[in-house]
Amino acid sequence: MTTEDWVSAMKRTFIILFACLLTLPMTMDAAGRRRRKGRSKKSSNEKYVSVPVAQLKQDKSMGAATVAELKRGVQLKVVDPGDGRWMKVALVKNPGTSGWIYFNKVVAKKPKDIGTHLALGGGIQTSDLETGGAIRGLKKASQSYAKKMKIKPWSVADLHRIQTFPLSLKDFDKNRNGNLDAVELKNANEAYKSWIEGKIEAFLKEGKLGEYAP
Amino acid sequence: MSRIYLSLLCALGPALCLAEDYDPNPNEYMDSLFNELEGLAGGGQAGQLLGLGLNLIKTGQRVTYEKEAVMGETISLQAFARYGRLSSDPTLLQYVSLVGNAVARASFRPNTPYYFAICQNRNPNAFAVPGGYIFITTGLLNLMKNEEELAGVLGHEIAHVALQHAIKSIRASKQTANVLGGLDALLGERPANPKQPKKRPDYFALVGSIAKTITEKGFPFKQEVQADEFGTEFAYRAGYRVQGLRDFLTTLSQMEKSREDFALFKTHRDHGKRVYALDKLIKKKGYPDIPINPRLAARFKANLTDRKELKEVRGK
Repeated sequence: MTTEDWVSAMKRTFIILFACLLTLPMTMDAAGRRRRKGRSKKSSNEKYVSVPVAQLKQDKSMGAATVAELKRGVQLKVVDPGDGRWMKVALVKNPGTSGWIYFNKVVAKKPKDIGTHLALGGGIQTSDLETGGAIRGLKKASQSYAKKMKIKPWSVADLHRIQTFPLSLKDFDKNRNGNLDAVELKNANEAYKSWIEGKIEAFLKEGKLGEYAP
Repeated sequence: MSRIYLSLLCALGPALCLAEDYDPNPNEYMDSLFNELEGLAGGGQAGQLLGLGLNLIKTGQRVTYEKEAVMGETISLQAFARYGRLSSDPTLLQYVSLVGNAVARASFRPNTPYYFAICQNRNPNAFAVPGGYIFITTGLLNLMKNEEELAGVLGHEIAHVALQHAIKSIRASKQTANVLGGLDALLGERPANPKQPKKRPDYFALVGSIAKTITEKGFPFKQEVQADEFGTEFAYRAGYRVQGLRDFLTTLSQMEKSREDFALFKTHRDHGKRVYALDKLIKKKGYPDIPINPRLAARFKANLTDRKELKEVRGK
């Protein structure tokens, strides 16, 4: 082998090594993606109820009989992914109970609750319940801000209004025909949440949206 | 020669691996995306999201919901002062709130409370404030043609809240230490950074400039596109057609040149690019066609188009 042959062979080897080096990050990325995909496939079989109450149906329709009412956070296992809208699931804690659930009622990871805030228009907080169920108002820090910065009273009133309107405790109370008794007051937060959920469900039903679509 | 083939194989191999990885199923794709985001939205950890390559909230001092809520309330007070009084029409407020909450419930951050404020202002604008406060003007509502467009726009704003874009903007700015340190001082918390000076910053003095950034300057283009993508997904999960936001952005794109008097177009002149990006996304994800729902047209007309405050905007 002459020196020229050696140089030529070295050049070719260098080109091959350089090409491999260039594509190495892509290969690693592909491997990473495959690992993530594997995890995702594994976890896509496990779902959690993401809304306060979801109905488990006997068939792929809202008109079908309700098998069970599931609370937020209940863990499910997908038995049949269905058509992408309705999926057949079984309860992880009670595999004997299975049925169909609409895809927007579940998420892949257990949902976290943020304090006792309500989903719609303010509501009651635990501290409020202890002091007689007052409607949530501005936080103390925000009240100080409004005072110090001389924010116009109508701005404060408008902010308070969107926190408690349009579905305020007042409306809720009215809807329940009068005063809440002590027991009801204790459970008011949960009851209020369900009441609001009912409002959203009725709205979706009226518009034939989501699982109510024909 | 064989070495050249070997080189080609080395180069093409990983590309073939990548092609094999492509997953066209939109539901599985969103599942994995939701999975990652749910973890991030609550904790403010570092993260790089799948193929989108979206850098979310950088590691650092955790912004608790308590802090986010105080920021939301104080900035909202400023927002009312800038954009005018809340609508006095309970029907309009309830309608927008129900559409918004139906979409928010289908988002990956459904447990955050969302509040929807309609400001009586003929200048079209909508913006999201930390803590779940979403503002929309009667001027913007007046440009909408149907409930799907409204759901898409509210979905976009909900996505800004869920992705904590405002907090990310604060973190990226020079004010970070002041805002977060000021909030700590206000809420009586220990400073997260022990090297912080003894005299802690006054959060109140900073609210005005944060409000100005959120309500007037908006978010960077990349975040707007991201909110478009997620907003469209949230609206779809709630049961709406995916064309809502896309169609509304088309309307804004067509108005950009003719209505230069609108403040919105002084800072946002890229609606055409956003329509293009959304078109690509809708095509890529292969969303199923949902037929036009005639019930929504009647509901939209009765609860929005025909309301007195909206008629007044049209009359001016």
